Amino acid sequence: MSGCAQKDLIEVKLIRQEHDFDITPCKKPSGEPYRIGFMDLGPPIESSYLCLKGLAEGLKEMGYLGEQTDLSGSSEDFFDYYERIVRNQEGNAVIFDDEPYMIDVEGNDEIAEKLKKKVENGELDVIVATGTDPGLFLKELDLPIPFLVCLATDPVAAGIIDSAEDTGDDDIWALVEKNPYKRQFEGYQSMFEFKNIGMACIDEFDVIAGNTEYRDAAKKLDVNLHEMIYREEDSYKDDFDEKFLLDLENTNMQDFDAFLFCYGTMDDDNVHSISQLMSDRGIPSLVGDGDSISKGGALMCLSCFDYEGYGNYAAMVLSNVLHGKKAGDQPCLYQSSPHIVMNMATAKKTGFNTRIRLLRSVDHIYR
Amino acid sequence: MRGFFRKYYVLQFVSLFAAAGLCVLSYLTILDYFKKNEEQFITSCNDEVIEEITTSLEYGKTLSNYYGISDVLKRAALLLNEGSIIILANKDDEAIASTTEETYFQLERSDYGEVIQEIRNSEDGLEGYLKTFYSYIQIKEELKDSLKKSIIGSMIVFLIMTIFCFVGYKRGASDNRIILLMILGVIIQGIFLTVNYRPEFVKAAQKSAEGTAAYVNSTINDILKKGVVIEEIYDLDEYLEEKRQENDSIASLYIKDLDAENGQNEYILPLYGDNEKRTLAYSISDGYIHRNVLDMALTFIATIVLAIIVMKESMVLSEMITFRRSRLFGLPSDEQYKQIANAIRYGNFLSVTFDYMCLSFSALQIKEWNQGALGMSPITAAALSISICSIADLLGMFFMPYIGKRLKGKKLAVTSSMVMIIANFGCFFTTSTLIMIIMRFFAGVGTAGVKQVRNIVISDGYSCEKERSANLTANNNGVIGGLLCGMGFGGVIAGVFGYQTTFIATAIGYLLYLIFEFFFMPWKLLSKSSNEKENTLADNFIIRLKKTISSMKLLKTIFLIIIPQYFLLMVIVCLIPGRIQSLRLPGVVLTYANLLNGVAGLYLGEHIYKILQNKFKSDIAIQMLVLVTGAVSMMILNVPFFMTAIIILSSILAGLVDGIGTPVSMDIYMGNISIIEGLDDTESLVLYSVLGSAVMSAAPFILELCEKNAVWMYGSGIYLIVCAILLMKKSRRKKVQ
Repeated sequence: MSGCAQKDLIEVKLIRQEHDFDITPCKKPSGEPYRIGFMDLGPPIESSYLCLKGLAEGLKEMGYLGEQTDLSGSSEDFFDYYERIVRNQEGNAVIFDDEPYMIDVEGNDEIAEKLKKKVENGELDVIVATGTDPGLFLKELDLPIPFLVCLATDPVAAGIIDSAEDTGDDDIWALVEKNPYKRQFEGYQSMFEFKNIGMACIDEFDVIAGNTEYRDAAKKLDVNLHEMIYREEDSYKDDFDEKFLLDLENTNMQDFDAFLFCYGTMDDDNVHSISQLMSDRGIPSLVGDGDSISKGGALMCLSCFDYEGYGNYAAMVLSNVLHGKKAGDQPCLYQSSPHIVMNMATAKKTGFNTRIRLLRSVDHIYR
Repeated sequence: MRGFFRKYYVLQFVSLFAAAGLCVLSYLTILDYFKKNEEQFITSCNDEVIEEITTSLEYGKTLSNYYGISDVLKRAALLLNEGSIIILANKDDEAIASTTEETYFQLERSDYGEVIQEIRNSEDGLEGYLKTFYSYIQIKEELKDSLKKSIIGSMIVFLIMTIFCFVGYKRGASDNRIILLMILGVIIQGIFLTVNYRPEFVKAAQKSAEGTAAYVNSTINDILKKGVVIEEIYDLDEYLEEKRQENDSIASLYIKDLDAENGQNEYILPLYGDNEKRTLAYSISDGYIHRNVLDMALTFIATIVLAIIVMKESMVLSEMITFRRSRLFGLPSDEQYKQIANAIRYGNFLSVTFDYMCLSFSALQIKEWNQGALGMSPITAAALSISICSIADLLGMFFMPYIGKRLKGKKLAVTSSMVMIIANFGCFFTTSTLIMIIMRFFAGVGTAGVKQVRNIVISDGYSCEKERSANLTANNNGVIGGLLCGMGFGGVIAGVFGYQTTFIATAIGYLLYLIFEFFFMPWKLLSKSSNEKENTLADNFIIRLKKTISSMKLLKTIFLIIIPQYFLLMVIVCLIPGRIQSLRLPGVVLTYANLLNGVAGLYLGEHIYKILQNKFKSDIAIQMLVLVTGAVSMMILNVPFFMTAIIILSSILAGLVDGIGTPVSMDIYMGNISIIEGLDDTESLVLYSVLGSAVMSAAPFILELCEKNAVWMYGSGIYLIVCAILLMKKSRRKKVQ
């Protein structure tokens, strides 16, 4: 009983988020479905597959792809997954082209011609691309339809868009992930609480491997960063792996709390011997990019690139575009939740205590 | 039958009220228990989603741009009971995402409980809140059958008790026996209710433990499914212990071999994969269930004691009614003055009961509205609604000597009661914080008026010093009883019908008070007495007040007696609750501390006071003893063992300090030569009340320090003993003289 007051109510009104999307499926005014082209740099890698998966699942959840589109039971292969999407598209609000456009595999000129023709004939309404090169390719092609780049390391630095706030072209949208390596470094630091860390990197990969971001993060966190810097040309040499291992063996790592291997230094070929060396010395081997390296023996790869989430987010942006909004006006900023893979055998050898909260947030465990 | 009801109508009403109270209390207790269990379960389960959000925020996500947050929340809601809604709000408390599809919706507060958990970043900065609303409807549905049984059972017990009482009445049983029968009926009802609700306590504990264990089990299994073996979870034991501690219903939670023998009340949940040989085992805490059942039983006893107090206080009514109908009413006689003391006691009992019934609920209501006023935040406005009442009371008392002269006792009683009735009606009907604050101000003014009426009756309602002393004792006892019952009943009414209902109860209560005062006070006699004692003092009040309080004798009385006495009255209000809280003792300890403090002050105090009067013959010697008792009541709180017993003992001692010390200190004060020469009786009582209010405003701050720091505690105790020693000198001087 509360006096003459109206019934005591709790009112909940959701405020608009920065990424509000119109997620109701729509078709063309004529009632026909929209046609989507998907472009990637061949041969496709795991990230392309994950992006495509996120895109398709997002579209299905919104209702653009009907129930008949069976996305389950895929073999985690890009082409197999694409084939599932296009297998039965009848009744869908969007229809994917029968084949994806794979630049650098098919003749790029041929692809350009094909796309122009399709656009002229009204057989293509929008293109979704993964990768920096497809983004640049489409920008240069300057087709009169919108295109969305949902996976590029730095679309601003690459020149696909002007900035995250203003893409510079109404028809172009590209997903921007801000400071992913800096956040990765901070993530590693909070997990391993290192004060001294070794870092191997390739000098020329400052931007794409995030070397600069690591340095900034170390400075901010007051972490001593001991760098081993290699030239890009040296990293392609046949004896690089041997030389790199020798350098590591000769490095005094007594004070190191962890070692970070930036993109281009540790790979599937040398991971076994390097991770063995690190775990023998009780130093956690952390990876800049690449789940497979952790599978091969590196202790952990904490990635701030949520590829599936990128595809999912692009699906929402695509929905807005299909509802008549300009691609260039759509929000480009996206921040991934961390994706963690770890190698339990290495963790044990290194003496790293795997706490329950970490194990809960780890996406995949290798042995 | 009519004769029976006429004779015992007050007692019958009280026992009916007590029976209904027990019924309501038992239901509220079990409802609260269910809610507590549900909330513990929600808190446990939500830690995963909070962790996920916190981790994402650490990695640079922001709540304002948290894509996919609704899915995260929906996933978390799957763990909870049906009907639960999770809302994520930013640090400005604006909802960002929810598990419902709508962007705007309303929930009836009476249908949902709320669990609010903070989301903090790695630097411990507040980022937002996770709010979980769980449905009461489901809980109430589960308790429906038990509630029905408890109502029917209680009605049967009450009916049987009434029949027994009636038979006893017909057979000429004494009043005390009839009362005993009534109390026995209520006790039997209490036992029935305890037995009736016990299975529900077990059921709720089981459900909560099951839910939490299932959640822990699924968390571990999710990890095992990733390919981890159980030994690789480094801090698993720590985690299980943490989860066990989060849920009071769980006695143990651990990994055990499947072959190992099952413990009592132990349940097992399978673990995934290679670990089939081991299981997650948990057991329900019997101790927790017993504790809660015991708490309920203790609350029943407390309620029964309150009912006995009301019955005992109301016993005088039939005597008063008889006297009111006699020809002696309104004529100066010993019996009339005795009845004035009774009327003071019962009138005080009524007014203070109703004052305290609603006192703290304006703040809680404002907080529930979450509505500020005049630029103040809801929390500030809530605090103001309490303090404005005290300020108005204090200010009102300053003006009362002037107003009292114009309105006299009867008119002032009507006016003050009407102000109280209107102000409390206003508090009940309003939905505005500002109006609530204004109404509480008027309620404070009304309280000052009622106190002034009390002072007038005390000062005009005696023919000799002994009667005045009796009036003062009656006044104090009425206040103690009222305090005790007001807080108890207020809690029950607020719990059942909502905070605002306490105001309508108070308004109706003041109507009863007004009728009582109108009917039982011999206003003509009081007025005549007042005219005879007409203030012959020449100067106006302020000038006389200045002269009076600059007297060294009075200052000594103030500093050695009045200030320590009022300071000690706050021990039960501030120090003991703080102590109970810091020692994390159950809430029922506070209930009993208050109850026994009141009983000791009200009944034991009065009795011991009479014994001491015969023994010492000197009020100052008694007051010395009171101060030493007060010091002991404070200092024993630092004893590091038998804490519950120590707190109860301290509460009883504090009650005795109140019951004995208050009339003694007032007697000493009223007998002070500066007071006699400078102020009339009413003015003296006003000054006494103002001094008391001032001490009671400052005391909480000192007692807060005492609670936190033993030095302050012992320091205050020593101050009281020093006051007693200085009084000893005074006492000796008096003897020499």
